[in-house]
Amino acid sequence: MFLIVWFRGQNFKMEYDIGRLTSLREELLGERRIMVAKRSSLLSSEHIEKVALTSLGMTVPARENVFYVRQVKAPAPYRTSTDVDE
Amino acid sequence: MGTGRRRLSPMKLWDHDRTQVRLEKIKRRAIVVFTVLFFCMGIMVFRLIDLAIFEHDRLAGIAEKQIKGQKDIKPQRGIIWDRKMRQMATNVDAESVYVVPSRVENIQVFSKRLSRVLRVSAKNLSYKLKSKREKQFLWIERKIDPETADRLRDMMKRYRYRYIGLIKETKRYYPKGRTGAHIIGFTNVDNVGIAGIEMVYDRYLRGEKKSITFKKDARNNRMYSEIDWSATGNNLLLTIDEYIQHIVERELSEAVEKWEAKAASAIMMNPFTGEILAMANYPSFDPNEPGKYPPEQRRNRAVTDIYEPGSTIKAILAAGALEEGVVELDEEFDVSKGYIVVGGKAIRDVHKHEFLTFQEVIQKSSNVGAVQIGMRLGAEKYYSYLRAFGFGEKTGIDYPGEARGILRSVDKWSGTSLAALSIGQEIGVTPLQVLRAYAVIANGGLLMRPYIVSDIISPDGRIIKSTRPKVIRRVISPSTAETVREILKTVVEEGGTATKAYIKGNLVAGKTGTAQVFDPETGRYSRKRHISSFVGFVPADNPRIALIVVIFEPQKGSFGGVVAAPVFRNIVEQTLTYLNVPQEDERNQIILVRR
Repeated sequence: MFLIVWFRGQNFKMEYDIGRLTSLREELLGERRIMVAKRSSLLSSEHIEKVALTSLGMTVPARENVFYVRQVKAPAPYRTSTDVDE
Repeated sequence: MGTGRRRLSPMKLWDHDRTQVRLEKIKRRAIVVFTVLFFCMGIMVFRLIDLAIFEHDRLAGIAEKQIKGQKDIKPQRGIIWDRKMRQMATNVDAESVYVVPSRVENIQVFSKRLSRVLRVSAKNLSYKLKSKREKQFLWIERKIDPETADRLRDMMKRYRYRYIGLIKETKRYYPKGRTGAHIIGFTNVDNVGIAGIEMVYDRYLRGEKKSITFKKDARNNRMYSEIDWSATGNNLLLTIDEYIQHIVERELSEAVEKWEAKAASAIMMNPFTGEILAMANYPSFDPNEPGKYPPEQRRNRAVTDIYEPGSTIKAILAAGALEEGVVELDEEFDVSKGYIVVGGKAIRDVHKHEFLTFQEVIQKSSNVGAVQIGMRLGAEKYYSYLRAFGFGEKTGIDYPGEARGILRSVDKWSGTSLAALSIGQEIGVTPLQVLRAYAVIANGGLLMRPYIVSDIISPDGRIIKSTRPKVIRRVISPSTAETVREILKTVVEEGGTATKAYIKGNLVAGKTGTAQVFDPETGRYSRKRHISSFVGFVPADNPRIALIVVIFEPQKGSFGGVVAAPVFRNIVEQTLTYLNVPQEDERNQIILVRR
């Protein structure tokens, strides 16, 4: 009888704990949403450009100053044989 | 009593009888007690059986009511992403303030204190509370900022107010601010989309309302329950690129300031698919606070406003004339008079020329030459081409409030209509219609349906609906499209009207437009008010992007080649760099050879 009551009590305690943790998780998820939104706002092109141009002294490059680097595989070297077939 | 000593009585036989009697008494009492106990137990067992079996359903229902709470979960709207999954619209938690007016004791004092916290008028607050005195619930302020919510909590604690409270809600938030504001639109305070994409796709974004039950105790503390508390709508993936959108918006704002224009619009599109890469208007607004801006600033002019296209229509005229074979590419037109009289109305050229080939008529944007081409094509044919290119009908873009434009049927044309239409008058178009028509020339003759949302994605990542490029119809043959492309290239070259749209290293094909604004008061075209535009595509031979720039009523200039063409160049140069499109002559390519 005592064991049943004890188990039942523990069960309730655990349910309270999980309920509290669930609420906490919801709150943290809400905070996370705000942080993600703030991060997204800070990563906006307008903000990055503003920081780059005003704080970091960067400039928008002219088109002819942008170089595209392309990597290509060299063709196989020309092979010849000095051996003369008999 | 006298001696204080008790005399012990001697043991006698009858003592045994007395013990027997006592035992009998105890036995009887025990029987009575056990009978009573047994009876009570019987009652209890009977009651337990009654509670557990006969009354079970009724009592279980009552108990369930006591330990189970119910809550309606308002779903969070889905997220809107740009084509590179950058968040354009999301949700954040916010708290809303409510009051139970019927329980407010002193409205004057309460309103004064509350107004100081919420920074609103105490008078208005007091009036609101008095007028709803009998109500049990009244919203005071929706979705306040966290700092105000903290101040309010302090106030509630200090004055022990029990008739005011905070409810957690979700608020729509646009992290990119003004970028893409006209496309995305905004929601009202109840998170219902009322403008832009938010409105068109509201039924997908808002999700399903969910009612859930959970376990609680007598103090309303929530206990564990295996319930999914989250409820979200579907997400949208746009065709818009946030960085290109920013470039376009920046260049438009600079142009409006430079030319002291009334407004400006620009749209960028993939001519082969109809995907809208950017769509911008200036002046713009912040969708996080749409109420602070007048409606004309929130309007997406690129889709909703119609204007006379002016000379940009000449490419359509040229395409029709070539397709019908009524002109030759090197055929000469006499424009030496500098004007042509049609139906008693003189149509003039801006610059006087002697003889111009068909190609030069478009390159130099000769009105006199265009009228001659239009006459040769004929009203019926020209009208059919204008219709085929999509004028006078909605493009079918997934955006609300699109204008159809104005294109009257031939039977309603006057004697001057054909000439006027040949130079882009007597026709009302939207910037999107013009861009789509140019995309036909860019992609080899196909009219595409433009679109902004490419995919609708469920909260668990499944693609619910996908938009694929849709060909409406073939308008001209690939060879005609190629010929017109070649002609449009010359517009940007030396001798053309849009040399300022020239981009070093990449060929541009396009056409300028300078339209006078019709003044309804005088019944004539205004000499002071213009709409300057440039529409084209680049790289001309293998177009990646088609772009239209329309500057409404610039004060410090008027010609499309002067006002709009440089904006086109600036936007395209930066976009090509961003899209990693190298210069066609390979001057800015470094090739590393790996052995």
